[in-house]
Amino acid sequence: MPHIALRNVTNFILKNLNMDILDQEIMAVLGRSGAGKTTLLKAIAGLVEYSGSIMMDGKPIDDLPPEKRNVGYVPQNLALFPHMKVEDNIAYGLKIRGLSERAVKERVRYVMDLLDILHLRDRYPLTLSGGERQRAAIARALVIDPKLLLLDEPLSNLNVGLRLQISAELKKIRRELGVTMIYVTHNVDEARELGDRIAVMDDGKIITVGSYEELLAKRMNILSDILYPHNVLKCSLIEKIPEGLVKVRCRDLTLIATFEDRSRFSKVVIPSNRVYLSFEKPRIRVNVFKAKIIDVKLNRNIYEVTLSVNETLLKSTASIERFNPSELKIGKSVYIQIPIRYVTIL
Amino acid sequence: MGASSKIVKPILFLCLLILSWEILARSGIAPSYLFPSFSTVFVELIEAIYRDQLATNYAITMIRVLAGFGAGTALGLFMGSISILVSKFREFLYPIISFLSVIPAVALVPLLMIWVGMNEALPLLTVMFCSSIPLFYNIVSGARQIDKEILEVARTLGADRKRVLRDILLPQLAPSILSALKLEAGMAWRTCFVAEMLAMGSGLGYMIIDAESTLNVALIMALILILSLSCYAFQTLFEVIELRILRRWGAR
Repeated sequence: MPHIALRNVTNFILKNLNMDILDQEIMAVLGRSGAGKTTLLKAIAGLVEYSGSIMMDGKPIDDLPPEKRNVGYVPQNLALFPHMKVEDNIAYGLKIRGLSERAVKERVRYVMDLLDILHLRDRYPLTLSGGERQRAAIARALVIDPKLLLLDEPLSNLNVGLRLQISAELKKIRRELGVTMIYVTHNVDEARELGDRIAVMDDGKIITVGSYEELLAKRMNILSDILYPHNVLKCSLIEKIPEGLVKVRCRDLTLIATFEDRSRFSKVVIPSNRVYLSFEKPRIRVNVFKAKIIDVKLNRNIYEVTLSVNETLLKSTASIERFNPSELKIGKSVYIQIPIRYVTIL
Repeated sequence: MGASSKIVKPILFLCLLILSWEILARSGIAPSYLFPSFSTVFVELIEAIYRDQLATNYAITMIRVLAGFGAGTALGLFMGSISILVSKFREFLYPIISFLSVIPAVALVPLLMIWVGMNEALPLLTVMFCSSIPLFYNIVSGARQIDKEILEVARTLGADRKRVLRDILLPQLAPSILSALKLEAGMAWRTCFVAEMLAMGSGLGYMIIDAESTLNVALIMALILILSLSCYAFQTLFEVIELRILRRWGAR
């Protein structure tokens, strides 16, 4: 039985999200900014509304307010209480529970020692360095002995050395306290370093879950493609063709793709930066489609082009140098080509 | 240098100012009953203690200020807290208070003279009014600026909404609250003074009107001095507390 199970969790950001996390697992949720990672954590913590169900050890916790869920939460900006000393920050969760002063002191001491911040107990948060704040925030979340620890980009503001050090400490803490962790990041290296498994998230959905090696084997070029939106389409198998390839039908598209033994032929994932757009018919014949430009957005230095192939919508992204703004007119007919190796079948 | 010059310089400047006042007044530039020297004003002040019961009147004014200020602060804190907890209440109250906050408290004195009469309730109500509105205003706008994630973390640590308000929100609002109190502290004295001038038979404000009717310029000046010193001391008290808190948190 999974320790944490999310079933069809849906709200203003999340779309029918499903995920299982094992006991004492560190699950890294990897996605670009805006993918819905923080909202996912807040839903689990009970801080935003959602429909669907979140279960902990088989029991739904949807009706519990945040204070009853016993989930440790470390938000991205850490949110230490500026008016309390480090020690009082950490002790807060225990004092609320009405523990005796001695029990509070002992537990706080233990957790501070675990994170190596005993010497900071009389300092105020604003006087701490980035790494020290990080540790204090993690200690504060751990002190209530949560079954689940939610970490929102906890290491993104630290230098590499400090990052590796705190990563190692988080693993040690997992062993020592037996706590399950969900760890949200947009950094592939962090996800690989710390995650037992990686859940790739985009547009409010979990696209795929697996170890780093498994994700590589699925030919998801997560290292570069995670920064772009993904096209996720329902698909069905048409036929297997020689050389380990398959022909699949995804609504109006018939795609040639590679597959694995484990592929269930339910969905295909195509990173939008691998949907190549051109004005002349490409010389390659495979996975080429005629499409119409529906919408063009310029996001920083990236064009986000929405295309339709008959009724099917696809997203294509390209850097600003590739096209003149005048070339990408809404309603214009173009060709798109998708290399076989970037069509991932799940 | 450093701390000592911070105190010494203003005192030197003040002495210089008083000295020029004294010389100018004694030079005969204006008749002494219109522009008395500093020493005359000072002697008048001492005499007023015996002749006009200055100490008693000062105590009366101070009690009125403290009572009105205390009641106003309590009211402002109460309304502010409820507004943070209940968003409907805030939506209803905030526009009204924003409008009330532009009314000078002294403008209410004539109205209150008719409504409540010329009794102790009058300075109490005016001072209360001018002490509660800015406080409420600062609490509500200060709460908007507090990092929402801090409140969320407190929830996940086991605090219900009331606890979050008491343990996290209000203490963090301390700087906004104190800066409102600082503003109100001076205003309370001024407002009380005007209310006494217009409607009361005792207190510093009454004394200044009385002195005006007997053309006692020296006493008028003495009373103005006392009023401004009281305002200043009261205001400084809150400023010191505010700075202390911010320093302790490491914010300054």
